[in-house]
Order: sequence, then structure tokens, then C-alpha cells
Amino acid sequence: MTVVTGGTPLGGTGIGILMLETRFPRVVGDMGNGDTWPFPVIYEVVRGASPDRVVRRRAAGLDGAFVAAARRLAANGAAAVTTVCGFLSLFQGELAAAVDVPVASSTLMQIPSLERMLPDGRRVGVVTVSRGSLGEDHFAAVGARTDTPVEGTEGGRELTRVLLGDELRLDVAAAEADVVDAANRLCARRPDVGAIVLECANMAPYAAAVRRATDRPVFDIYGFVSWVHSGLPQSSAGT
Amino acid sequence: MGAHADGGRNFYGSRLGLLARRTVLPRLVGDPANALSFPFPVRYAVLDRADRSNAMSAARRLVDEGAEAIGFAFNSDFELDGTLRVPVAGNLSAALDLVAAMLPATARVATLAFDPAPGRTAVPGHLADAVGRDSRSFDIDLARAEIVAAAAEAAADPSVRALLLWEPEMGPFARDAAEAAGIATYDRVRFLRWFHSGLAPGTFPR
Repeated sequence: MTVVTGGTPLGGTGIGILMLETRFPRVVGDMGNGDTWPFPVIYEVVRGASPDRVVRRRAAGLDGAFVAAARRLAANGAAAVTTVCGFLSLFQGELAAAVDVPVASSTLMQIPSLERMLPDGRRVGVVTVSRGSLGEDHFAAVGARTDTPVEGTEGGRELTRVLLGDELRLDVAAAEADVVDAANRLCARRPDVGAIVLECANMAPYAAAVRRATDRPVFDIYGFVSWVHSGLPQSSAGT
Repeated sequence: MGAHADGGRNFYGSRLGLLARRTVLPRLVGDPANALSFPFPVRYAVLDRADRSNAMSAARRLVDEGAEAIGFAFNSDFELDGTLRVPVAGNLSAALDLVAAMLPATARVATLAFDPAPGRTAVPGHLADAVGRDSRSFDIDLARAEIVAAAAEAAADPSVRALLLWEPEMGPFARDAAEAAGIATYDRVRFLRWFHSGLAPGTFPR
């Protein structure tokens, strides 16, 4: 006899993703594109969470909306909750306390573990969509060193403008060039950077190019969430 | 510009070099000393003596030949000395941090290990004996039953929200443990797969 236990309306939906309210293009490789994943995911859009508000205005006043959406994901069957924006590390503690499943709010959570694995004298460096907005508290919220070297794409010609301005068209080659250029500047300015974390979940499509250009290991949201998913029980998601 | 390829090393494609001990214990899929545990090629160096000096020489050779990072397929009681020029996935404390980071401060990760130690749940029995004696065979069903029972018992504590299987030989039963416990369960192979994701980030159609 085989008995299974239910409890949620959906099954097989291990990963629940909190989405910002956006309309910019999400290419394959972006976590907000379902074709990115080799397993099914479920989404909840957090109304009012514009990229500008989350990135440039510290998601101020949105914590309640993110918590409510995380609870909806878990109630619907998500066995872990993640988000589309690395800046949401600010809500890690609040989100993790609100649901009884693991929460991976931000790629920045990988930093403390990675730093222990690097050669002597090497640091993790971060490429972000907005260097001016990524503050010490975004790192401190996930136990990462607040003096982590950071470089941003805001001086580039495409990615930051399209994402934070929530534009409808993205020149993918130009976006990739922005991310690669920022990573190259990071490594030139800080030769002690031994591994790179891409803060922005929209940068995963360009991670392989950054790896090739910098010869540093590159950790993004795709690899992080794939690992989270690898440990999830399937039965708790109702299958 | 014409297509060209860059050389400079002996081998290509096997980005992760793994240090293994010279043992005869069966290595099931899910144990990092079984190459089929990984969806990418790995290159092993087998250590006749699992000590720091041997491990350093083997790691240097793997890196010289082309490995881009080094991992351990066993629990060592030593660390490499940090002079290697590549990242090293040594003991699982970095994995423990990664799992714990996803939980609230009021929750914890239960770590299943063969021997008792602070912060670990001991799982003595058939599998622990087989690993300790380096047996040529062990009873898979018995080993699975031990891990499943220990996982379920650990998860009965409501403050336990995730499991970490500390012993590489427990990895083949991680899926069973996760289902029995009903909570997220991680192990050395999953940790090494995450580590490898930084060496070979995903590529996507455009």
C-alpha cells in the first residue's frame, strides 16, 4: 500500500518565485521566464514592487506585501521561496520567519560560503544593476562582509536603464556587454576578487560570458536556485 | 574573425578536480566518489594516504593539468593550505552555512553524521560500520532504512527545517531522507554541483 499526503492545491511546484511588478523583457535565462527552468516553478507578482522602488528606494513599505505573497506561494505548494531581485536580501529575515519553508531571497546569500572556499587573500566581488543603491545593510542582512567589492552596470548603455526604467525593449547583446564590462572593471580595480556573484537575477543569461571574460567563477541566481531545488522533498509539494 | 580555440593545459571540460581516498567500499550514485553522481565530467585523484601533504600535491597536479577548482569526495580532518590558486570545496561547513542562511534564526539544520559531535546527530549502524571497516559490500536497504529513520526522527523536532547529510556515503539516500522527513535535505554531491555552477554557469538559447 502506498499512501500519499496532500495539503496544498498544487503539486510538483517546489520553487515559488516572488516577482516584481514589471513589463521589461525577460529572456530565457532570466528567472522570471518559465523556460529558464528545467523544473516547474510558481510565481506571485508583488503589486507595487517596481524595480525603481525596490532597488533605488530600498523596497520601502513593501515588506508586508512581500511577506503576504511569500505566504501565498507556500500555501499553494512551494517548498522553497525565492525572489527576482538581489536587493531583497533586506527582507531575508522577515520572509524566512513568515513561512515554514526555506527562503533564498538573494544571490548575495552565497557570499559567506564562497569566501571560505577561496584562496588566501581572495574576496568575492559583486556585479549589480545599481552600485549606488547597494549598501552595507544589503550585505549585512545575509551575513556578508559590508566592504564586499562592488561594481555596477549603471554606467553602461542598456541593462540598468531598461530594468530600472521598466522599458519594453532590451538589446540583449548590449546588456551582456554592460555586465561583462562591469565585471572586467571590478577585476581590474580589485585584482583580489577571486569569485563573482551577480546580484541581479536578470544577469544570469550573461553569467557564462562573464566567466569567459574574467576567468573567475561566477555565481548567479540560476545556479543558486537550482541547488535549492535539488534538496526539496517532492512529497511536501503535494505529488 | 575566424573561430579559434585557446590551449594551454592537458585536459579540457573537466573543470572540477575531486580528491578521493583509496577505498574499496561500493560507491553508489549519489556518493561523490561515483562519477555518475554528476551531470558533468569530473576528474579524480585518488590519495593513497589521505593527509594534507598528499592532498596538496594531488590538488596541485589536478590544477596544473587543467582543473579550475578542487573538491573533496570525503570528509577530511585537514584543510588545504590556501596557497592553491583555485577555490576549494573542503569540509561541509560552507554547505551548512548556505542551508542555514535560508532559515529563520529560530530554526536549525540537523546534520546527520556517523559519529557524535557537537551540533550533529549520530547515525551509527550498518552503513557507519561498513564505511569504518571499508567493506567491499554493504546492504543498501539496511543503510537506507537507517538514514530514513534518522531523518524522520530529526525532523520530528519542529525547530528542524532542513537536513544536511554530512557523510558522503549518505548522499545516495538523500532523496529518501527528504521524502521521509518532509523537509529540504542537502549533501556533499548537491554542494559540489552548486560549486560547479560557478565554473560553468548556465547557457541559454537566444
